[in-house]
Amino acid sequence: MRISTSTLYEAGVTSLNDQLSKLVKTQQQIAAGRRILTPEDDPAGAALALEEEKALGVANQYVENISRARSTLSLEETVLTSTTRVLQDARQLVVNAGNPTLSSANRAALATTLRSYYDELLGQANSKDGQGGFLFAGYKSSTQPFTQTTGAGVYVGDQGQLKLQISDSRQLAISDSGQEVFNPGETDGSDIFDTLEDFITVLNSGSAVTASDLNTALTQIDTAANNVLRIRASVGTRLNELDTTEGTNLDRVFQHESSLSSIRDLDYARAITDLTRQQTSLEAAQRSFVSVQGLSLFNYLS
Amino acid sequence: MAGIYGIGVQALNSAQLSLLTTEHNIANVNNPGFHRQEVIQATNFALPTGAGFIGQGAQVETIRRLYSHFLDDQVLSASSQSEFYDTYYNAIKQIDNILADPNAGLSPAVQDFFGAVNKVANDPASIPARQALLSGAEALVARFQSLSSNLENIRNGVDTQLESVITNINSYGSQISALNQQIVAAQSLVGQPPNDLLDQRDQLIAKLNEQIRVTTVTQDDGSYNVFIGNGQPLVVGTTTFTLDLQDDPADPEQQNVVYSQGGSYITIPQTQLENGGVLGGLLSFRRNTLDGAQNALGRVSIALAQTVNNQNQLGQDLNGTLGGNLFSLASTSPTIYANEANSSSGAALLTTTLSSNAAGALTTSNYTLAYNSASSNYTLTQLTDGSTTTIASSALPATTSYGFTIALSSGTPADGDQWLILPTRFGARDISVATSDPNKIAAAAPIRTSETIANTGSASINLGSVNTASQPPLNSNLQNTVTITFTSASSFTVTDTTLASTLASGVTYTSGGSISYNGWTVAISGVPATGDIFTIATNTNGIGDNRNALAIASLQTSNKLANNSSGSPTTTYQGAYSQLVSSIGNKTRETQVNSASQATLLNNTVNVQQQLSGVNLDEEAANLLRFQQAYQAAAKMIQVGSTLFETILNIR
Repeated sequence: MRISTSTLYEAGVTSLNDQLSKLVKTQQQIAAGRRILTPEDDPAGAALALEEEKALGVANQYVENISRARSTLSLEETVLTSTTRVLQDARQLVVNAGNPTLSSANRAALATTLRSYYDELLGQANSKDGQGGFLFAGYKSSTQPFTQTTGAGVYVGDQGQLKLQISDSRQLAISDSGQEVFNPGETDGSDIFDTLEDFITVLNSGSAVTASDLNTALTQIDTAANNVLRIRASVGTRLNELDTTEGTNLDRVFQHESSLSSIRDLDYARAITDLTRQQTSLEAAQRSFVSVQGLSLFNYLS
Repeated sequence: MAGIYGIGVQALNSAQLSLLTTEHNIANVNNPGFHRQEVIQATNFALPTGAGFIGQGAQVETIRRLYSHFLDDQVLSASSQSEFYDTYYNAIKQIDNILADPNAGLSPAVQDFFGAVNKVANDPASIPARQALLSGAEALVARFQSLSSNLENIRNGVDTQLESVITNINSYGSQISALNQQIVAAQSLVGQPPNDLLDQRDQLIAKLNEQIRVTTVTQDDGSYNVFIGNGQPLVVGTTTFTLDLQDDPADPEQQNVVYSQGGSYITIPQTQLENGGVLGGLLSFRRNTLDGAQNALGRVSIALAQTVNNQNQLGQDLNGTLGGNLFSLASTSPTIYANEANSSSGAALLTTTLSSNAAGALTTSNYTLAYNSASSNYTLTQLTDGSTTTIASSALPATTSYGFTIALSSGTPADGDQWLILPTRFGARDISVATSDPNKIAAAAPIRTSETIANTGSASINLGSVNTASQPPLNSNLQNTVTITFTSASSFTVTDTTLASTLASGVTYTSGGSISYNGWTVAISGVPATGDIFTIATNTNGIGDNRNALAIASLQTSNKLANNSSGSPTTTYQGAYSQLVSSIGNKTRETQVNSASQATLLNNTVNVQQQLSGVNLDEEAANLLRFQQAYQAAAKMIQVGSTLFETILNIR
């Protein structure tokens, strides 16, 4: 077979170029730490990596939403704990007020204490969240929900419940409306403000507290306290759900991170081995090129 | 004696010519397109004598170049294909690189935007969160625009390259015709092949062939006729025809290669030019990859903008008014171009508009619309798959199943009139953010539900939602106050108290069942009592409400694009984008593999061609020795002749 001189040269140069471009590719992969430099390197992998990135972003978003939900729900729980305590104190006060040895001055003093409980409850019902919105106003977060200063509860919030997306399929309520918690305006005796106001009137009336007054007040306070406990239990359940869901979401974050890494990231051990091998073949190609190019009959003509 | 001299001198001449030819070969060892030459000798007519035929030496018959039409054609074919794939690869690689950067791609921007929507959902009344959403929207729009302008730059680059390719083709064409002339003249002058001129012309053909696939036919007088495409002549003898670029009559944004003949331009079907060479690579890339990539990006842009707008319109903003658009879609989506060749007499002006829920119906294809006066029908052809839809002219304005509507705004169409419709081409370029007012983000739902305090039953009403189907435009009674009054534990009456009209009465109650009126849906569950009243009313002061923000946020994970045959969307925004990435990646890889295999094929065919036509310096060195010895031997012959002659003269 005839080999033309230019073929000899071209073949050598082509092979050098090939070796060099493989070497450069490996070098770029090592420098970037990525197996896929452009979608061309692994089209399916590149598209999959985008999907994984999206899923990772969404899972991270849920984790963020959960932390926001937890802070609001914890705040609500704190407020409701205080509410329970105030109701317990009020109940104790009512029981004490039944003591027949109390003078009307004693009862007026108790009425003043009960008034301060009333105000404390009102303050709790008008609590604000970390962002300055009212916790128990439903959707009307900028409107003070309880507007009365004495007497039965007057609620101007709405019955809305703020929900957050905590997983693909779950929106969790992170607020409860004042209507739900304090039953303002209810005429069946469950309006705690009305109950306290009624008993303050009794205490201030000058006459002794009757057994029936006592019973009515105690029953109504118990109803209100039970309602608050019910809401607290629900908040507790929701906080538990947040913990569980957060665990699931963190698992998902980890899973997406690891599959993203396996799709996109470089196996360094292998890349370094490749680099060394490619370096060796390039050097071999360079040596053989020089020695082949040195061959010429003209070297022997003199 | 005369014989000895004669043979000797001829042999000397032959050896000298052979030496010259060898030197010529050595001198051209690095000249691409050079075919090695060799001296062909033939024996002289022998002298017949009684003792037999006495050989009379040899003379040079011709100097020929080692050329095989077959092998050179193989090289031409391989190099044309190789250039085609190289060009395609280099062009598509630019898109591949744009999509490669994990930080500059579209996906992170979409992610960030919806992250900001989630922050508004977490804190609907927060102005900073709302401001962050608007910034996220600006960043998303900027990403769309920058990707779009990158693609547009690639398109402009293709146009510039087309110009230079056309210039090259025309220049090679005229050089080939000039060489044709010289070759015919030279050949007729001495009756021998002008090898080096032939090499020059073959080299020009090779260069021309790298630009555009050509076929050549050799004429009797030695000149070449060169043809392109489906047999359009580029060079005939000494006549050249030229190619030019002209605006596509169908698409003013695109330039087509046209054939110039006698001062008039003839359009060559572009697909006929896609069979090889740089020109073929560019045209094929533009038609098969670039159009699709721009459309795919535009489709994501339009779908995202429209679906987010639609959802925002179903909500209530911080000012308490119904939501508007968050993104502006330019009027260029869709774009319709009337063909320049359309009849001016009717002057039909067609317009296209985006359908209101187009996201799922949009494809990445362009469309042509043609009018047939005999049937007075329009035919809408989807260019990617060739499927057609017939639209009666009486049916205009007509809504197509591709997410756009066609209307005749003025004039009357003439038979054969054509239009080009680009529904998504400019979607990513022309998207913008519609508002800079953070209050305009409609995080709240426009309705709220409540149960009357005096209700004695245990039933409760859920938060309710605005129906998404067929809205917007919103039901005009959406925010009217509506009461649901139970006339018994098992049936209720629905009254619109704003309009003082009864919407329904005696409706059977199912616990948890959907109750839909005026464009909203609520559900009541539990056991109601007679006289219990539930109210649905406008969400006054509902600034802490995030229901609509949650709905906008959920768009990210819902399938909104690429309807299947039953009309259900099959992918998300980011899913559609990753399909683009995957298809560009696959095509780039495929082109790269083709390009590499064509390069190998070209290498192999060149090697085979070089085995015949290439110069080997060792061989030439050996030839130098051989012809030097032949020259010395011939000289010796003359010396012998001279000695013999002297011997005779010395006889006394």
